[in-house]
Amino acid sequence: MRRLMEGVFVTKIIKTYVLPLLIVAGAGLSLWSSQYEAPVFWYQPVVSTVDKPVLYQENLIPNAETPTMHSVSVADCTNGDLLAVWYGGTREGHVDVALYSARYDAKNGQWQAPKKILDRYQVANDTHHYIKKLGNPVLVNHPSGVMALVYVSVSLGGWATSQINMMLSYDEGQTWHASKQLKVTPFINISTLVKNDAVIYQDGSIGITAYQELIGEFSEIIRVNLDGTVINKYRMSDGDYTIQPSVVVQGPMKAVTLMRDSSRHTQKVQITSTDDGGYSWQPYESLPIDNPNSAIYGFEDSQARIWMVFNNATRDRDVEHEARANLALAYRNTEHEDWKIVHYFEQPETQEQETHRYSYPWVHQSAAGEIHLLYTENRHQFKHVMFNEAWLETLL
Amino acid sequence: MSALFGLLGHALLIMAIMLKLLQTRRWKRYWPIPYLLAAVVVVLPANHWLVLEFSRGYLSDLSMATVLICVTAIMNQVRPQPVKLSNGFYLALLALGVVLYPATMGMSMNDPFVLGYSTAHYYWLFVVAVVAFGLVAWWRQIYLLATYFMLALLANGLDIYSSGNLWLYLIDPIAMIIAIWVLVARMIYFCYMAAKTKWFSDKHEVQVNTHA
Repeated sequence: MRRLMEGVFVTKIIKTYVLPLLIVAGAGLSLWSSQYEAPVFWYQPVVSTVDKPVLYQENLIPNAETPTMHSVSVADCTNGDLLAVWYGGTREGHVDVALYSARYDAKNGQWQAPKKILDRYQVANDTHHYIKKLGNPVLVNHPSGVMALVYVSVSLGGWATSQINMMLSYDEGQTWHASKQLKVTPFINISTLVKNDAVIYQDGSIGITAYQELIGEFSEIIRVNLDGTVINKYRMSDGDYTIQPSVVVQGPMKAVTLMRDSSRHTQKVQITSTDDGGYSWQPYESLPIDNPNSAIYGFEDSQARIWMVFNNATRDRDVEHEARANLALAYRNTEHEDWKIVHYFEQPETQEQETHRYSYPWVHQSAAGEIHLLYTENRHQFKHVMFNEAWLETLL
Repeated sequence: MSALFGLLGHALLIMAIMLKLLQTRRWKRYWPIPYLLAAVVVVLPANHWLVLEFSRGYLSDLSMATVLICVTAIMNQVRPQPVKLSNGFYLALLALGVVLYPATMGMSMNDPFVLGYSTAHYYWLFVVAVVAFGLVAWWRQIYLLATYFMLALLANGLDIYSSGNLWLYLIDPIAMIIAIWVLVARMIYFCYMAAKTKWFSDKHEVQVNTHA
């Protein structure tokens, strides 16, 4: 009886005095957290190579002995080499899909043999989650010298229920630290994917250019620090078929984003812009440029022109493969000028070539000013086209 | 550390489901057996993973609402008088879910989920609102609801899941589904009881009139 009375007394003390104190303590801890500045892009003007000799070279990344390979991403190494990461396996979405990397030796102009860097078992070990399959990787060159790899994984369902993970390398991709799963949506953390390059903010945080495609299909920037803690999210479009954003930073506060049109209606490249470091974005608009629901990549040159690599076609259900049979290059001088298509990296000339598919372009501008374009060819190999601004000038 | 808390939450979820399935109350003085069986299922290996990791892979980390529901469900299996979570608790979950999910999945450019990040403009206001709800619940002596807000605030303050967003500690779809399920069940039960009472009172009235 005495023990019962004591128990009742303790419970009463907890309910009356401890509970409200803990609520206030929780509030104090919640408000006492790291503060980050408003977003300001880390912007480095593009090195001009206009006065240099014209450069245009084509190369291939050797196949990692996987039946398919797709979604290549590239970053710079300090000695001028490039590091590429992609996913490969029996087919897209298969359980044997793993992430592979290869290094481009800038001295002899050759890609080295690929090596497997991550499979779903390793991710599961690192994150203590069941992982069903892996998807798109995105390499990020951080100004501190750290290389980050953000990649898609799926535990439940298809790509629309993807999650994103991040891991770091302190030796330019030779070894990787354990992955961390980023918590970015309230809906069992699903529906986030990545495809294109991230942006860096002046405080060192990374803006992952992501998109959702579970219910609404829209683009957003997920701002994270190097620990993999999500700091904030900035929505670029609402849920209306605008995915795979490619952000072209044009100044500390200014950027333009080109987006893939995932609808069956408009089939045009979508565009939006920001003037406040990506905190808010203008309502997006359709460009008079066709897009067959395929990936786009934008980049800027030293004269602030924006260039875009894309498949110049619309989508037709019956001949879907033809929609990605070409790969075009377009540019615009200023915001008020129209886009002009000036070159085709791939264009079918024979009936046989029309069955070829070129997709998922990735453009990397090296510190020396060289521009590297990599894209998937028939999901069997990656083409690597290296050019410079002097070559771009010849197209104008 | 975040993985430990995440896995612990799922251990509670699996335990609660298993104890319910095993009808623990029927085991009477053998009640430790179903608890032991449930604990074994939690760490059962299945094709490279533990059941626990499957659960976490599918459902991500659990909010404090789901954790509290699981803890009460586990405790209720052996308590002589089960603890009943109030309608206020489930209505609070429903309200949070209705505010959060449609907008955050792309219904508009406004994303209420962003409010949960400490760098958001009105984050402090969000925290103050949660504290206010917690204190009102405590003042109204709805202690489990107050405990829920307290757990969410503490977990967010300590960032036990390394998620950095207050919303993730407040609600998840499992809690939302349970809230809808319980509220609908209670509403049906209430309507049934009201109809039954009316039917009996009408019958009694008829009998009184007949005798008169």
